[in-house]
Amino acid sequence: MPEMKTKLKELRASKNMKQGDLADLVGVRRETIIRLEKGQYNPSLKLAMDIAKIFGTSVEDIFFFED
Amino acid sequence: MKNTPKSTEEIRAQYKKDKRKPMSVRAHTKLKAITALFSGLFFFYMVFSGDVLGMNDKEDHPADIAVMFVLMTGMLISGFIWLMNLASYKMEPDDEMSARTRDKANGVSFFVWYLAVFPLLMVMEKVKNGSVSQLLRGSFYLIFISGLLIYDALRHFMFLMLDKPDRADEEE
Repeated sequence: MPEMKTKLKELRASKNMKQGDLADLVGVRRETIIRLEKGQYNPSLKLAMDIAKIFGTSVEDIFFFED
Repeated sequence: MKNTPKSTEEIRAQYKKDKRKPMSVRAHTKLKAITALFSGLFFFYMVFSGDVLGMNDKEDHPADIAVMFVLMTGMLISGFIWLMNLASYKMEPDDEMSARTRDKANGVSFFVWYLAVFPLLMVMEKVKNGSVSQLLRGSFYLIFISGLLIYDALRHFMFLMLDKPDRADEEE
């Protein structure tokens, strides 16, 4: 079964952003960002799109599936 | 009714506008869990000590009084702290992940609660005082209230367990 991977941590680090800052921007708790970065939580389409918008990229560039 | 927030975004926007100090989802869930646990156990013990242990007599039962006192004090103190915090802090609303976790916690808790409570009710019926069923003796409302409160406590504790952060989850 393909596993969800994410580049969220790298993207956030490249923008010098803290987990809490990103959480505030997209309107979720810091815990949600932590789980997202670890690939332990599948975001809703809306949350994924909000995050992509923050980083000016597409959802597929942040979240993708790997076998 | 127009001012009642509906969506998660509206709720969070209203939360951001609030000038009071924030209280995290986990913190206010802990308070709710503790208050519900003490209240549920207090009501349950009222039924249990009276109808099952037969402590309704006029004699003194120091152990019974001590247990009642501890549970009632716990219920009052935790309830008071909960109410004070409700006035002083703004409660962080659920986001999509905590809402999903809460749904899961509610389901698992109901299963656990059902497995535990159903046999317990059967046992209470078995050890009843006299020949009249506990459920027909007017204690039913206490059993009902304690059942609801214990389920409420259980689902909050289950949420805290499922939402537990890892040790490595430091701010980055």
